Amino acid sequence: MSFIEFDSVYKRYKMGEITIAAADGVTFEVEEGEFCVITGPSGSGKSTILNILGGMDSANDGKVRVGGDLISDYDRKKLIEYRRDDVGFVFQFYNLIPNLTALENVELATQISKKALDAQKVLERVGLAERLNSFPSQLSGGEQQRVSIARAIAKNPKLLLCDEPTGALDYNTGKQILNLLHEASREAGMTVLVITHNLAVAPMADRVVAMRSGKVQKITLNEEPVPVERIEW
Amino acid sequence: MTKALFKDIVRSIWRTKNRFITIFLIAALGLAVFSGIKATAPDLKDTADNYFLKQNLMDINVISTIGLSENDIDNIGKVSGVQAVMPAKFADAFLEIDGKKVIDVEGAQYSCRAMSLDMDMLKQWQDGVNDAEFMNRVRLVEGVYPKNEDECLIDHSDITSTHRFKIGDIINLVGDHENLGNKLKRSEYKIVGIVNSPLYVSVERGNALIGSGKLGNYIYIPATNFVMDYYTNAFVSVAGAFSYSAFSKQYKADIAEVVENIEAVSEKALQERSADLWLEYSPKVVKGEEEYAAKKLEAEEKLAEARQQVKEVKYYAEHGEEELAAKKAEYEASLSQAQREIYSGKSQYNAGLAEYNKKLAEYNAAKAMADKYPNAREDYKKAGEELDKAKADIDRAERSLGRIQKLLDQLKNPDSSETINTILVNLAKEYPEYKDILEHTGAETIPNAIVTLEVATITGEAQLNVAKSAYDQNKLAYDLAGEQIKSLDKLKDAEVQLAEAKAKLQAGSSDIAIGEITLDMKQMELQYELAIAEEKLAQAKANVATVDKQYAQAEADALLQLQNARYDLDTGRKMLDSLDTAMWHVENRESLPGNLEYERSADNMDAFAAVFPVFFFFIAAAVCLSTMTRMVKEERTQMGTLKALGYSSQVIAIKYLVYAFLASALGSVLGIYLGFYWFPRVIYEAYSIMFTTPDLVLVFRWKYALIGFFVMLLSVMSAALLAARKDLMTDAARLMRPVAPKKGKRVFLEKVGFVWKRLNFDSKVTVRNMMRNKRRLAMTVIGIAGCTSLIVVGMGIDDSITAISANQFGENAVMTYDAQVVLNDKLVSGISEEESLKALESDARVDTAVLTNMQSFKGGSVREEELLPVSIIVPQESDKLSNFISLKNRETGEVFKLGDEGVLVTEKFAEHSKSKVGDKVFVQLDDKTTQIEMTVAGIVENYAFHYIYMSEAVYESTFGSLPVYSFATVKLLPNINAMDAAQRDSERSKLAADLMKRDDVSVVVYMEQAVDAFNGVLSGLDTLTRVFVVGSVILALLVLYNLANININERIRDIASIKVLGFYDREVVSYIFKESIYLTLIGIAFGLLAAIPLHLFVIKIAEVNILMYGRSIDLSSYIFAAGVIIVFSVLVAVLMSFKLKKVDMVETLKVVE
Ligand SMILES: Nc1ncnc2c1ncn2[C@@H]1O[C@H](COP(=O)(O)OP(=O)(O)OP(=O)(O)O)[C@@H](O)[C@H]1O
Ligand SMILES: [Mg+2]
Repeated sequence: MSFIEFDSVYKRYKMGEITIAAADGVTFEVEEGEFCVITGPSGSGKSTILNILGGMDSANDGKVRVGGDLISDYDRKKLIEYRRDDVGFVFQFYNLIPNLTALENVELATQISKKALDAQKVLERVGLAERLNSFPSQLSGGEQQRVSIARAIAKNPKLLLCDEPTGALDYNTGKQILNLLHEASREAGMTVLVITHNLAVAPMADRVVAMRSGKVQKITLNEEPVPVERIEW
Repeated sequence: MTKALFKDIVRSIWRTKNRFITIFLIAALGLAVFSGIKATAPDLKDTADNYFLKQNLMDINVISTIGLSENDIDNIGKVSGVQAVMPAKFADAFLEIDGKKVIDVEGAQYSCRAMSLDMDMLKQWQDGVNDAEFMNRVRLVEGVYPKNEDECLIDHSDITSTHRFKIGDIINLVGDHENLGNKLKRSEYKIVGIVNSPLYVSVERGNALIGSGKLGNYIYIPATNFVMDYYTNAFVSVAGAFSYSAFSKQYKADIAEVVENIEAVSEKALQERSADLWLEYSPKVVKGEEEYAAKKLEAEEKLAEARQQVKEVKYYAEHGEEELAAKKAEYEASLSQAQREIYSGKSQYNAGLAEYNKKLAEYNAAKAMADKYPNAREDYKKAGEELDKAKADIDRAERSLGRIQKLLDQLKNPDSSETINTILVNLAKEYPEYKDILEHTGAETIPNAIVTLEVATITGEAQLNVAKSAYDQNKLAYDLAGEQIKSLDKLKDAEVQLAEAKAKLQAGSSDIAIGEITLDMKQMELQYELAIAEEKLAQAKANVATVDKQYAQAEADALLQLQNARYDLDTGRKMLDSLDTAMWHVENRESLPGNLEYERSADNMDAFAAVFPVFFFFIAAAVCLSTMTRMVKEERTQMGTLKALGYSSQVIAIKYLVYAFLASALGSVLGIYLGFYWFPRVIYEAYSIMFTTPDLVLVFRWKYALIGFFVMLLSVMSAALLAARKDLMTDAARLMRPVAPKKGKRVFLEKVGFVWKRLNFDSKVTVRNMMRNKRRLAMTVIGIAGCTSLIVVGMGIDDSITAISANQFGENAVMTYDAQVVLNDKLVSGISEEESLKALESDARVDTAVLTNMQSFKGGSVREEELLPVSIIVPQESDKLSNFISLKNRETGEVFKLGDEGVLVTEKFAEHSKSKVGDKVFVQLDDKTTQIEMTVAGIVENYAFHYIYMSEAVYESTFGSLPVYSFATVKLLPNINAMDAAQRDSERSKLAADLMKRDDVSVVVYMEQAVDAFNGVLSGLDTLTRVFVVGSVILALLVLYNLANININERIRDIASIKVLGFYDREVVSYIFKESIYLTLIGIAFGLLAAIPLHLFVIKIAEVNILMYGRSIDLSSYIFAAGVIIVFSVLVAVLMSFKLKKVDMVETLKVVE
């Protein structure tokens, strides 16, 4: 039994007459501690399944299991607890609270989590030791994203979900971010799922899920993932 | 404007509909309160003016203490300035309905004023003629106008009565010890209509001349019912008076002038009338006394008779049984007697019948006999004749026989003395039949003659025998015939006897019939008598218990009648006595009950409208303005997009201006509508308990509408423009990115390290959030503070108003007396004030009393131009005044005594006349030029009206004369005041009625009456403030909702973010609202503090000069205001927590800021 199991998951949107299936019978598995990359063209349903996995959205049909628990059956309260304790989320646009400092933004997450890491240490680990008391608006995009990752990691979740974390960043910064995420998987043993359009990232992943029109088109397992440093795009 | 822009505007409105509606509603509320409160007072005045004009209310009322004659009316009509005069009559009486006295709510007899209604004028008016002479036209609420003399119209307001009068009721007017017949033709009237009279604009009915002195209601009866030969009133209308509002200075000045003119003619008119009355009434009174004496005698006789009857009844009740038994015996006895009589009558009849039958038989027999001799009667007649002939024959024969014999004798025995010849001659002479024989005879021939004679004797004898036998024969026949006739006679007899027997028999039978009828009748008669006797007995038995009471009642009635007669006489006498002091009261509309109160109500409202609604309006405008600013700020990205699409700044600005215009203009229009057409009606509704004026005249007042509309529009639109202007000057690209953060976002508190470190994370976040946006902080605090103070001020004004009455009349207040007993002129009553006071003080219910003089003036000081209405109060005993009126300075607490060094003035009077202790103040006499000066010795607490208190000595030295003590101020025993309301009221009316029976007491006015009227004046103001408070509360709700909404909209991404982090719902709520709670509390604190000076400011401006509002706000008002805001905040938070729960993380975060 795998850590993450998607079993014929459907997500449909009704748009007047027509129904759009954002997830159209998605089935795949991810093992614990894996670094998984999800790729696919725009609108293929990547964000949809990640949101369902992260407990932010719910499927219309099908089963989603995480660590053996059937989260697709969770009620509202259990979903909140699941997000609180087991999931870290990183967005393309960081979504930091603008009037809290970097440290406070991280603390915002740690104060509610049971097994949280020390906020300051996590920030130091992502290379922001000097910028603890800076406000988001005083930080660059990459720095903000690092705060955002720190906020996700600091909760010490089992799952780290990232929706195009490098989308708004330049090449080098993007690389640093991917490195951070990779480390989280390798060192902290988190299961990391990263959505990216950048197919060049695929070689560093343990598993690549390719989506198309709401379906899993292909799953590639990398026996020998390439370290980030060696990847060029 | 392009179609796209138009669409964008519509979409903007739809997207931010909450915001749009908020601005709309707050603008509406602001304008409603503003225009509404501003419009109410003028509406009130316009309503009264229209009403007075339509009903042609009199301007002046002339009342004479001795009535007005036709002549007087003419004189008044000639006075300069007088347009028309309507003479009228009234009479005060008690009301009865269905034979029962109507009682007022205080338990006293309900009194009614019957006023004359000129039917001709009414008719004309109904026909559409607007005759200036027809004044005080009533307004029909229900029913019709009277057509017949015994119909009446009744007062619409009967709240003080325990009976609800309705159409069809027959009411009976009863005099108070007075014979109403002297005034009215009839006492019974049928109600045909229910009306309001413009003479009474409020439920206040003023004083009556009877009972407890409080008039209950009025009726209008056709004028022809009045029998008095004088008028009680002359209503006067002043030329041109209706061209001014009844509340304007011009009107009052005009009327005052005519009042003076009328007063000028009064003296001469009074003299004339007094002279006439003296001539007319002094003999009447004398005659009246005689009649009274006679009446008294008669009454006594009647009573004696009644006493006799009582005795009888009592006797009957006791002895009735015996009487009845006797009657029964008599009845039975008389019955058997009658029956006996009838029985004997019957046996007589039977005997008669037998007799009749016998007679009938006899008759029949006689008849049979008589039938045999039908000619018996003729035979009998013939036989009789024959028999008579035969008898005559016998007689003749016997006679001639006898003569022969005699002759023979003489011849045979001649007389010796005579010669034969002589004898013969003599014999021949004697027996001429024998002359031949005798002449031829001589002495010698005598023997021959004898022989011849003897022969003749023999033949004579033979003839006699023949005659005798013939007679016998005839006799036989005669007797037979006689027998036959007898049988005939017998028949006749039998016939008669039979008829008699028959008649007798018939008479007998009718006798029996009559007897029987008589018997029946007698029986009935006796039975009836018996029944009556039985009933009488029963009655007597039943009545014996009540008969004494009945007698007592009859006696009381009789005495009452006598008393009434006495009263009439005394009234006449008093009237004659009062001729010297007679006067006219020339009164303007202010003397009409409730009229002044109406004006005061409007004035109070006017004063109140000066600042209060303006505050409200500005707070509402400020909230709209800031909401608009937020709305534009949030539209940043939209603006950028539009700009990027190539729209010019002007066009984009127009979008927001249009938005602002639509929201505020629509709101304002609704607000103005509500303000002018709804708001005043709500206030008026409260007054309608008090006032009887018709529906409110609602006027659209352009001034207020335009001011409010443009100020609201300008503030909201300029806010939109200002907010948009800054953003529009930046370029599109930057607009589409988030706002560049300001440097140094660290809050002040962080610099105070030891405090900051101690704060937990949440508090830090809260503080940071609070400080993050100063403008929102300010907007929230100011909005909440504003609403809080509005509520507090609204409530505070209510407190201040309530305080007037409480401070002035309540417990431990300024005026602590219970009643004023108005005394009659001692010249008329013949009782001195001192005696009256003694009598009052000796009443078991009176605690203490003091004789008081009160005179009203206009007064002021040289330091101020304005003159104030002020009353001078002089107690006869200076020391006693403090028992009734507190003489304390409000600020220093110093308690004054009435001394000889000067006068005490009330606080507001001092304030308005700018007087301090030691300053001089004056009052102006009626001539308007003489000013009487006095020195202020102290300033005392007082909340309503202006007073100057002075001692008798000061009065004397100031005015140069001793005061006239026209009433006694009275305090009742504490235990009466401690009774429950109903009991106390009835106790009081009883006391009033008792006192008014006295000759020296004119009217008893209880403090409560004054307080009620006073509170009535303030009741509308109360509603006004309440409506205002409600408005403020609604404003608070809108503001709080608006603030919460803005808060959530601005931070929607934060909310989604922390939800993604796994915050529980309640954690999300607390994260968002924690700061709101602090801001709210800070806002409340500021609001409560700001309310104190604001309240004082409003009060000072709203105060009308005769009233001093309470200066402090009740703690409860603060608590209420804070409570309302807190409750609403919680309510809004609960509402918003649902919204928070529904925030969709995915959707929210998907949108790029
Ligand atoms: N709220 C929604 N209503 C309607 N359709 C939606 C909604 N959210 C997503 N979709 C549709 O579902 C499909 C999948 O969307 P999703 O966001 O998962 O795509 P994606 O693979 O993440 O694309 P991208 O790479 O552009 O982010 C799309 O076709 C999208 O139009
Ligand atoms: Mg996506």
